[in-house]
Amino acid sequence: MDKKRNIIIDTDTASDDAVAIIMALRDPSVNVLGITCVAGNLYVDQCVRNALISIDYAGTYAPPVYRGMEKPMIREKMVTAHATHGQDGLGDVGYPDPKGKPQPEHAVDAMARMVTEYEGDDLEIVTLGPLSNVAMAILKAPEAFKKVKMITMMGSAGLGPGNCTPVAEFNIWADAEAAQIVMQSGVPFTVVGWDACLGKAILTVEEIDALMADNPSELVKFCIECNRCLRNLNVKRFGSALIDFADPVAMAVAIHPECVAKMIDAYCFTEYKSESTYGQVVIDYNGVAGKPFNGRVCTELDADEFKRYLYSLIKG
Amino acid sequence: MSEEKRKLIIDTDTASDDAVAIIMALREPSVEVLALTVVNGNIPLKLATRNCLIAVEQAGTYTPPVYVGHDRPLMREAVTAEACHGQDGLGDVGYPDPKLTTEKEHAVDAIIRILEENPAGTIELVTLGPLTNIAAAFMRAPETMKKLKQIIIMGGQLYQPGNWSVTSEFNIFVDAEACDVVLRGGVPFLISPVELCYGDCGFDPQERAEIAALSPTGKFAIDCNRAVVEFVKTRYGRNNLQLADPSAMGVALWPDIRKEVTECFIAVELGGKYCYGQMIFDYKNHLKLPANGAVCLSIDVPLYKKRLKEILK
Repeated sequence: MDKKRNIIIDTDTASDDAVAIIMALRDPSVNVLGITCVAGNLYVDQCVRNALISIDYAGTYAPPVYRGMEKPMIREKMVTAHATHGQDGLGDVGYPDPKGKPQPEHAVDAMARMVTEYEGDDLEIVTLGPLSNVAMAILKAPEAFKKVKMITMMGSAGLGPGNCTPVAEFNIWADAEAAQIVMQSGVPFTVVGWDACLGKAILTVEEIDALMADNPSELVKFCIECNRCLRNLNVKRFGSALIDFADPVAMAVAIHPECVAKMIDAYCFTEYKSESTYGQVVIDYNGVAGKPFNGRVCTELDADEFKRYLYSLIKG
Repeated sequence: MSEEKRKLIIDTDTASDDAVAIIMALREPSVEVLALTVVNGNIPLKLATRNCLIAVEQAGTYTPPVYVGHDRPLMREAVTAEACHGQDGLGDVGYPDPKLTTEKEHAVDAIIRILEENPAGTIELVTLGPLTNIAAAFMRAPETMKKLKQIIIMGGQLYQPGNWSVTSEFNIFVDAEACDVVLRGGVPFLISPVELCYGDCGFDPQERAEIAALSPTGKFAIDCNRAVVEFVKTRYGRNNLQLADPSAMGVALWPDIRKEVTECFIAVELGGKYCYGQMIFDYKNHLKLPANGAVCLSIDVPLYKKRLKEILK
């Protein structure tokens, strides 16, 4: 059997993060070394709670969960997305408290330590929220991060428009300085932009209904119902109670590359100085800036493969 | 002496003027230095760490733990000042390697831990370099950092030109984002701007000879700064040893040398085409913003120098 893929998940755990975490924990080819939580969609304590709840629903194994950055690194204003994911981040369904507890170690220290202690050159990090924890850990242990094979991030508008400003997507906009630190760190990264998570990657109402038909498992119910607030919002936003699964798409790109239809190399940087374009990720795939390419961007998803993979993990 | 000693943490990018400031603090009987934390700045982190240990040995008193911190600014490429302090940061005199060693714990973790272990309002921080370590501590543990009694910062400039760019002083220019985080951190701060080492505050050849003759420590203080003397000569055409960190340490250790201190709104410019890292001291209150900190505008130079000479004896 092939060696397992070792990953650290960094997450601002709200409803779509929860599904992404469950995917990773249920894919037998993946070993999740730790889950580090960061403020983003929600306040960090809520993210910790939701990450632990996700572990319970995944029903496989329980990696250590760490509490991390409470606010963005430099940006004065902290933004959250309670309106998107519910006051508790899991659709306000009222899930019971999780069985597990977070570790006492700070997420930044834990990530720096895990990277430092890791023997091998195949460690990967998958980020589902703002990059505050990862940037702080890189600054703390820059040498150790040279062995990180890949950081796959759900972040940026990709090659499309933003969802928080005309050019900025939430995860990057919430802490653009952190994103820029990661992008200029020299660690290879893969950007999964908001555009790649739309289109056919979206779970339609028909698909959701089919999943929920004939006696769905507790896990399937959780994966759908925790996105209740998101679906309500999407009625206003897209005219339909669909689920746009940004974090699950990013997770799939990271751990199941068969889902990728198109990946391009590019020089990427995050604008953090401009008021009007704060949080824009510039993706220079034509090399106009004359800078060496530092990352790659998934611009197109094989949506059928993504859904097949997603279903196999949550239904199986 | 029944009064309790003031407790200090010193954050330093140890080059030659930091070394003198560290010696001052370690020899001042009214304070106890709990820790020294090292940051990239004047010179790369490894050299700064080496120099910090050398300075502690040169002080010849006690040996607080030394912690290694960040090796680069938050957002930008590192800028260093070997041109001013020499390739090794200590005037390329060729001092032997120190016998002391550093602690394993990261500087930022150490700062947070020490504050957690002590009652609020009992510890003061003196910063002699770019504020990267301190900003990281504020970002990591904003509430814990509020336990600091005050921060005394060597950094910024009252007037143009700065000592590193048209508008900016070196420590702030290296990592203005870090400075911004610290100024907004909610801890009282007192700035010792670069001007406090200019003019009379500097040391002419006669004064340097006097200090070097005081003791081996005095000789070290002058010798390790020989590159600074040359730098000032070449750049400003003056034979005057300007020591920014000792001035700031004097302001920190000896409140009675602070001649003019004003409270006002203080900020740092992060954008702009020319002005990155410029500190703004709005003592005329043009911005109509409440004061958030204090700046020392002048010092009692004779008293400062008298104390410095006493302490180097």
